[in-house]
Amino acid sequence: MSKAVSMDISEFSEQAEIFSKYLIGKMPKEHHIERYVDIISAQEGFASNAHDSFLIFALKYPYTIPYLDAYLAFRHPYGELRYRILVMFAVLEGSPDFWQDFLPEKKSVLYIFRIVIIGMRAAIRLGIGMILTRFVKSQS
Amino acid sequence: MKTYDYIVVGSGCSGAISAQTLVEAGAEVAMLDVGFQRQEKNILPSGDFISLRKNDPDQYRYFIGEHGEGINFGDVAKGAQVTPTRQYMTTRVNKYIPLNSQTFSPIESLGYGGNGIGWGLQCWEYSPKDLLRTGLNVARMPSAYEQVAKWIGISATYDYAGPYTLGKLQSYQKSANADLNHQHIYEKYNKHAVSFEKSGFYVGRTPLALITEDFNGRKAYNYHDMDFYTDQGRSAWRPWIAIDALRERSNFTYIGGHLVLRYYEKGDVVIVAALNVMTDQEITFKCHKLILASGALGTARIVLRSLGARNARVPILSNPHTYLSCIQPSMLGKGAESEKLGFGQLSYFLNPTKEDSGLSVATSYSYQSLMLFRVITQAPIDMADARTLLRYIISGLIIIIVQHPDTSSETKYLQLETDKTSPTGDHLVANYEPTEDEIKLWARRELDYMHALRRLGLYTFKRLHTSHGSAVHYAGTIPFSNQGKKLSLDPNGKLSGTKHVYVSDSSSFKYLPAKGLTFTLMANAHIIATNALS
Repeated sequence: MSKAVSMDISEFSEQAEIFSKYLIGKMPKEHHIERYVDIISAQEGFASNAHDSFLIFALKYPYTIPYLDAYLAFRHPYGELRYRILVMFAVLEGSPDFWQDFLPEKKSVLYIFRIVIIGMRAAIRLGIGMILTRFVKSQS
Repeated sequence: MKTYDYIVVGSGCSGAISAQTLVEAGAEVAMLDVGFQRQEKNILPSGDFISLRKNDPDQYRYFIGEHGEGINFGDVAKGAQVTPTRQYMTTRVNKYIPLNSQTFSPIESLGYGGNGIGWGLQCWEYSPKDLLRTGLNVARMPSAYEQVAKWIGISATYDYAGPYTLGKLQSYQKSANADLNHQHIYEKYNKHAVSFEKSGFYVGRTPLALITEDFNGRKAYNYHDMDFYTDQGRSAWRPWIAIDALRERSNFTYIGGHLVLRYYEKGDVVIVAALNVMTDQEITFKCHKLILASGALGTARIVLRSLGARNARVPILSNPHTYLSCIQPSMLGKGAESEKLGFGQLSYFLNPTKEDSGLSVATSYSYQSLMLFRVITQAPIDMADARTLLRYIISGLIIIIVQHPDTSSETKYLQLETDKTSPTGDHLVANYEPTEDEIKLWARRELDYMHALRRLGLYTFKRLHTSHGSAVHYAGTIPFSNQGKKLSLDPNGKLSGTKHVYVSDSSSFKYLPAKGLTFTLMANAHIIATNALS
């Protein structure tokens, strides 16, 4: 693990767990957390990026992440919160532990209905996310 | 100091073919090159994509990189070919060959094999009219294509698009098997080929520098779908394969670790000054003839520096390209394929007016081994839902790259500026601004392609314009000219104002057709090296 990391390791572990649960509904293993910390801490200006208001809010209220992520994906896809979610996504995908959650899956034609439901859910998340992001901005 | 018959500068595709031509003819040849190589040689996997994904605990090292260097966040600027295991190709580029530009983002390489390390292997022949516009030798190019094909090994199929892809090429093995997604498209096209042909739409297998039968100590392609990361069995041709073989020959010397700065002629000898990248000391070498093959940008640097032509402008050509993300609905939810071809599989040519030149072309890829994290941020929805959606659609996802031809203009140029902070004392400035008419033409052609693709059952859901220069196709900096103008080449490839300096890379092209240029620049390198022999 990078020696440059001066932040409390438990803080990063918590982040990694929150994002992992959000993405695949499972807890990460220790090596996933270590990799997440390595990558995040190697990011240029990572200490100041940690003050991103959406990131702070999302970590304080993890149940809001799907809504914030949905809105940010639509309007501001390249912020700090989404960067950290992406890093966790890559860490989880780049390991054999969760291959079932990432490789293409074989599905019947009826699965299209689930896809439609996911699409509708994403739209609802977007709407709620829009209100939430306004609230977060007003608080920061 | 030894005086070589020939010094070839650069180990990319044109350098490798130039050197091979000279060595085969018995000349004493040295290759000057920086030649950075991969530091961690033990990370390259030997299995197939699916097995590695399921079993290899170290897969993060080649899929996302030791420190996440494979994670791109932001607008797409650089090519997908620069995966963590191939990132050595851009080692210390910013230090030794700096380039400043707001409008042009090229990928340059100081690696062993140059930009050929990440080449997509497409081997299209230029049409005679395109060759003429480009300034290449129309009469000699067919036999040069043939010779290069014999050296590198090509797999191809002569089909409905054969006149566009293969031209008159004879030397090739059978194509690699297309994956299910592409088989479906190909079958649909062939079933209705007469109707498609009437509207000037041609689809065919892409010729690739990939062998499907064992050849010259290289293994037939194994369908492991790890082509973006490794060169398993050396079935994909890379310049370093040719140079490794040349290094076994007594009349070839590879001199790595040296960045060529400039040359000057003294009588019948060419003195070449190079920077040793380990010591940053300048060293000179001598030869009777010098062949510059360090790419259109690298050669421009050397020539401008040698002539003291700082602030002189030279043209730059580069293929604009756009990604079309398409879905083939009938292939959704088909799951992962354990055996798969990772390279471009089909080529598309839209030519309703039956032109022989100036076309835009497209080529298509399936998406599996590049992983979901590389595309997930392109989905305009939250990442948790995007993961579920992508797993379902990936089997029906086709990425089509539309490439456009390029012509030179006053707003596309390079210039060498003094820079005391650079080890070479200068940096390149690039400006690339297409005209409004060009932008409109490209947009119209992309829409035409999207319309034609719909007839094949491919629906475009995203059109992604990349930054200029990111196609890794560069040309035209020191073009052919019959008038002996300064900063140009004579028809034999000899640099104007010199007696023994040749340029064998794409710097010579006066025009850049949309078809990938690599096969053509190798054929031209063979011709120029042959000219230098006489």
